[in-house]
Amino acid sequence: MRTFLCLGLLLALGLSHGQTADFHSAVKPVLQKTCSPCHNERNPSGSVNIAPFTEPSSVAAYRDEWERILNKIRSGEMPPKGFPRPEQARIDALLAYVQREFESADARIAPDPGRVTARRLNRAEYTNTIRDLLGVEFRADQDFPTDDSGHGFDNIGDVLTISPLLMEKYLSAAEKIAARALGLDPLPKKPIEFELHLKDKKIRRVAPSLIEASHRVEWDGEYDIEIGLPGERINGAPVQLGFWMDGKLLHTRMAETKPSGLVYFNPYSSERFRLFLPAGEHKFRAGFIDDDFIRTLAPDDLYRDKKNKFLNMIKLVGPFPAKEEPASRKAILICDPQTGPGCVEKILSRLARRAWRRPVTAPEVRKLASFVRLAQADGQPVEQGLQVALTALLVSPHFLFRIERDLYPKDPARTHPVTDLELASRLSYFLWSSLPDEELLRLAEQKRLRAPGILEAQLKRMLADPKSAALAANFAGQWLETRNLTSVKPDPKKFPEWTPELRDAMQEETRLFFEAVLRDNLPIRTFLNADFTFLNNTLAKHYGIPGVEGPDFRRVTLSPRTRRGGVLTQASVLTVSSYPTRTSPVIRGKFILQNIFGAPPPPPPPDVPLLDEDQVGSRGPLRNQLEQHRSNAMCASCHNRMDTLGFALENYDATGKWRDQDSGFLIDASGVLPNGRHFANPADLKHVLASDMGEFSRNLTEKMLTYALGRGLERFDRKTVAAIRTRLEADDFRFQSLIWEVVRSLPFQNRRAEFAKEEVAKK
Amino acid sequence: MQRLAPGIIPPMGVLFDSAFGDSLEDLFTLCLLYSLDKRGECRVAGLTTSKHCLDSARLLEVMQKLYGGRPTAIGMSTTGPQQPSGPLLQAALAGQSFSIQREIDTAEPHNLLRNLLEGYHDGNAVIISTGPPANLNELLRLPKALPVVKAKVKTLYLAGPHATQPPDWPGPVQWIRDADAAALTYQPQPADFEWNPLHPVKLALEAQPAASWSRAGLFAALRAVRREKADPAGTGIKELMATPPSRMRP
Amino acid sequence: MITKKALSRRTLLRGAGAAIALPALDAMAPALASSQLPGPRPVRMAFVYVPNGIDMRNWTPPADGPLPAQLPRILRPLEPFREDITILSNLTHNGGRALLDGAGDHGRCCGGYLSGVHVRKSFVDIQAGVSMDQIVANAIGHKTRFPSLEVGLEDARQAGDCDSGYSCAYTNNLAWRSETQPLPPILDPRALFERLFGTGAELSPEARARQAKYRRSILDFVQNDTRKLESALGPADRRKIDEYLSSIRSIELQLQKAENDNAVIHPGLEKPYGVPADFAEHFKLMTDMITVAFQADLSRIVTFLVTREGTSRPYREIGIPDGHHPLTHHMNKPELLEKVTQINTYHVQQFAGWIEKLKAAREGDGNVLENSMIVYGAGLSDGNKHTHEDLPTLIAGGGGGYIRGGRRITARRETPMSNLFLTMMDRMGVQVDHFGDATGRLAGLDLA
Repeated sequence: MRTFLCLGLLLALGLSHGQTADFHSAVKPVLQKTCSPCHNERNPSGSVNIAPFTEPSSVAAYRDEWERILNKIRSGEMPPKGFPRPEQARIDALLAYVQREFESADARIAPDPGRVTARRLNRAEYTNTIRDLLGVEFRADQDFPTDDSGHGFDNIGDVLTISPLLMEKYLSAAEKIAARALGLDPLPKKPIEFELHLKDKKIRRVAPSLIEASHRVEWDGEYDIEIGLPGERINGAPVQLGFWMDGKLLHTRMAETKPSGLVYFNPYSSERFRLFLPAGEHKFRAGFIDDDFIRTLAPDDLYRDKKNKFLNMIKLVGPFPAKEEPASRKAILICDPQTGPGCVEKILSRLARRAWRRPVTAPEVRKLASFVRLAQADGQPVEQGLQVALTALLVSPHFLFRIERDLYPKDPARTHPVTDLELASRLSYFLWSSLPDEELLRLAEQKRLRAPGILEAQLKRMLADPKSAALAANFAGQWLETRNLTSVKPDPKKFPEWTPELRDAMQEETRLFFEAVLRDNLPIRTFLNADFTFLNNTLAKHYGIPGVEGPDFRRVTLSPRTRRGGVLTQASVLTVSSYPTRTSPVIRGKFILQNIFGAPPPPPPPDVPLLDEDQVGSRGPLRNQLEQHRSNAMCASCHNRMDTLGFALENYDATGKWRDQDSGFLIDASGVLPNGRHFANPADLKHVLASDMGEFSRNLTEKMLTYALGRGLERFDRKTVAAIRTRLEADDFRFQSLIWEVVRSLPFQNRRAEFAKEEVAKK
Repeated sequence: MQRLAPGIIPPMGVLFDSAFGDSLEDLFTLCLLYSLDKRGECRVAGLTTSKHCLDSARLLEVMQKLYGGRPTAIGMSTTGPQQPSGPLLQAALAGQSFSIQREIDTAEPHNLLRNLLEGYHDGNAVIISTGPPANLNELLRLPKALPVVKAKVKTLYLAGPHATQPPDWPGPVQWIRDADAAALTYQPQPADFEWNPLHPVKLALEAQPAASWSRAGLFAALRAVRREKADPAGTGIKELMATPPSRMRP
Repeated sequence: MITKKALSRRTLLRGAGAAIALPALDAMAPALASSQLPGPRPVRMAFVYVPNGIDMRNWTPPADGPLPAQLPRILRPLEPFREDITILSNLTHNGGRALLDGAGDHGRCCGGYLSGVHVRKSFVDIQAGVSMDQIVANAIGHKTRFPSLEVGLEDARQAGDCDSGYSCAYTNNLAWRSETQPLPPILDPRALFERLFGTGAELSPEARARQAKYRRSILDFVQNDTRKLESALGPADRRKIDEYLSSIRSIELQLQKAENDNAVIHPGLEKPYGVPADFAEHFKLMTDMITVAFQADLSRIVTFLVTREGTSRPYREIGIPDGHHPLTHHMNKPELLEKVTQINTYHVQQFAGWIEKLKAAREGDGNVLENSMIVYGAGLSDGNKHTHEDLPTLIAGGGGGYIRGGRRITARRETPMSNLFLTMMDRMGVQVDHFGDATGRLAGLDLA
């Protein structure tokens, strides 16, 4: 604030030529004395000639180039070691001067909300929207092609395209979803049997008393489920058999384990029950809960059918029509459509309003209702007609896109607030990756969203809603790249502990942790230096943290001895930033620069390998080898920072397990950052990182704003980012305050028309 | 299209097209260009010969290797009948090893020129042509190449008795006349090149001393690289020529 | 059942009750052969793209002309089909090179592979070129049920960037319908199956007709609605809505086609469930279905993005736990090169399995392979140095009596890949004057 005042004062007093003098005293001499010997016109080292930058006007005219120069000086990369270095005070003065110039230039930029291109629902948004609109579980990620991403997120309007293939999928998905919602999806005449058996490798054995199978259920309906239980336990007590779908326990019952009394050559029994299963690809599990008996067995006896009872098959027979009509159908049929067009229009008007996230007009409803007449003219029942109308509603651009209107299409210089309805969708897709609920939509319709206190109250309410888990899944999953956990494949020979359970646990830890920071409104530095996390037995064992039993996650307070805390020491992050066979300090360093500091290093030139890390263990510690590599000045300019950060995490192996040695060499995780700060170990590094929220808070602000807006940030957004950051700092960097500031920021609240191409070029 | 940021000045790319092997002067010019390249003053971007003769292309390959130039393909015209190699080329190539065996080991010159030009900033390449314009004419005929030439080529330098200005050349053209180069007095000696015993120019000079030559090509190269700053007397050419290239470029 | 009357291929497939399983077709081949089906066979075209370059030392045969007695190691799985393949050398993608855009060869080389353009370096403001398969599809796609098919085996990265400032769109897709609209590949075998052969839900002819009618009226409805919407939009929004509309129109076309030709094709394959973890099995499932699609003339144009450029997929199937991309930065270390070669060979081995199928698929007197041009190749040659010249490229199949295999053909250095594409487009019956960075047609490929 004070800087601002002084600057204003200077400007007011017409002292701007004083600034030029400033340039000539603070900047030019350093450039000429220190830079120009190597960067002149005759000898432009690294193809850089400093001469044009010795003019004061260059600071404003060539901002990008100047920022690069500043970064090189600030990080200590320039002047390189061994070259005369000006006194620190002179460097500081130069940095301060140019920085000030930047700020005043930014202050002069006219406020501009920028422009968001119409956003197609991405797969996550489609899935959630269908769930919240109709109560139908539909997994778009299993049916639709992958959404392309840009700026690190897959909700960027410009990048989300539609192909004929996707349109085909939209159409057939809409038909199927409409049919399922109304309970009209025709079931096959005869039930179909699927046997998933260990011997066909369709079953995976997760643990001695736990099996798992993935299977696609084609129809909503009831299914007879049979679990195959070979073997017997002499004097065995009954155990509790559980059946899970996608991690949710659906059914339990007691199962006998002792010999049946009949003489079997191969003792065998089975348990059968009927359940409703929704269509989709599911992961089923069957197992004995709290099965203590197996602990008494020798490993060799676990699958001997005279010694133990275990599981080897899941059979599904179905579908059978559900006894009860589906809840989704009840919710749609708010009146009896047989009674005539009045009710039909009522039903469709209600659905369309929710689906299109705005009030619908009478002609629109009539048009939708005409599908019902069309079907009835064919002699089809009215519900069939509703299904067609619902399909039409779901392939409409009003559903598939979020399109916002320009108030002044001809005048891009004029900005205006988005409508309350548009704001409601912006909010709900930001926080929930889904459509506005009834309360939010109603407030928007009544144009009360911007009434005093309302927006803030809605934000609180929405964050408290379980649907805000979407922020963890979609924002954090991409910010921290933990979505990639599904595709990483650590080498099972080197990391035998890697199992789907461990992977899921890693993902769950980061998700729960993110949600805790969000819901408890903790300071964002918690992401770096938390003293708590969420663990179950699988992950606790991986971390070597005792006292966590059972598969359920719980909050665990971390002592320094656990050497964990914060996302950088979470196995999810450590795994996605490793190679399948080993760690990579370079990748991890890049991860930190990119995702924590928001300063990704420039990519390496081709024919330079990413790094010669392959000799690890054969020629001495990786570290020595990397240091050799950094003696090359060209590599060093980027790798100094990258490798130092990456090495700090070398005590965590490629699946995030702690180690003191790597390939027989003791790990040295200490380092010095280019800004001169020392650290001895990962805990120290976290401390160093968390003590300066500057870069991290700016980065997280930029990422959050990008995600919330669905567009990349532009130069004019700097002001918004800086303002959010300042207010965030004033609230001790509390996470919800970041979200709140994003929501009330200029670009989130406003829009303008698009500049024509040539105007963009001029800008 | 691709604006250069101020202060960031990659060296000017030089494309050199001639009927290589017909005149010793082209070889001196090429040596000069590579020497300037070594000093970071320009970058020898590509070489194309309008002489339909494998030895001509081979000579360019040998020179490129000798001076540690980027291993780009050598362009060779195949319009018209094959031309005999001649005593100069035979002398220069005596004892050399090269990989060009057949026509397929060379590139279509117009295609190569277009591809190479695309790798340069707007206005940051020049073409020197001291031979018949066959290759340049083809370049202009190549679909969509005209805008590339227009944007990238700052100037086309023409020199020597065989040079002809291609009709419809879309950019500035500079003719270097013999008279312009009259001030150049440099007279090459085999000794200037003996830092490599198999230097093709040394071999060629020994077999066929440069009796009379105009030096216009040489001056065109100086002009192209040093532009208006080119010293009309070409002082220092001898030193440039006589310095072996270092393996590592700046 | 089959008379000597000249039957069109589709009549036969539709057959009585519209349910003829294709393997049965093979059994009928002799009858067919003697019937001497009239007219030329359709020529099919496919592109099989593998990432991260190929170890050229074990790819390129030592000399031009007839292939050597022993094929180079990577090509050895194709030994049984040596007379059906043509190795092309020296083809170049200048647009894949940096051309002032710095790092990002993986993004560039894939993004412009089938269009010969230099794609724009951007995360969001993407711009590539219309790929040659789509030019062909636009011209002849109306003759088949699906103008083109796009398939792949590897899902896109879910987070993070793809290559140095290049949008993932460039590495996730091979086919581009417009400069800004990529066509994503189908990865899930079940999804491909359902697209080609239907969901398996048995609809009565009346129900199917009703469904088509409803679909048409739905499409009408949304088109009218969209047009109203469009007038008020800015250029970027309009571009999105145009993509939407053009996709709607392509479905309409498909519906129209289906009216005249609604035979259910029974592929003789079991409907697959889920994505197999095993690479070979996944590859086989996808190519089996493409084979059937070719046989039944459901489509003549296929792009197959085997895995993504820059992928770090390990190949435990053959004992390689390291990621593919890091391995290709092998710095010429023999032990790393060996693994790269093994991965390259493994890919070709799967490809050979497909070629075998295509060759076994009888068609008239010959087989489907003879009437196909299946290009196998990569957008980089040396993955270590990211080189864009002499791209590893081979064509399997005769292109309908056009290409004589069993040879290596070397073009002049720097010859654009686009020259090959121009030539192939000719062969597909699509004449264009100019394409990508082509300098002309590729010499030496034809039989003459």
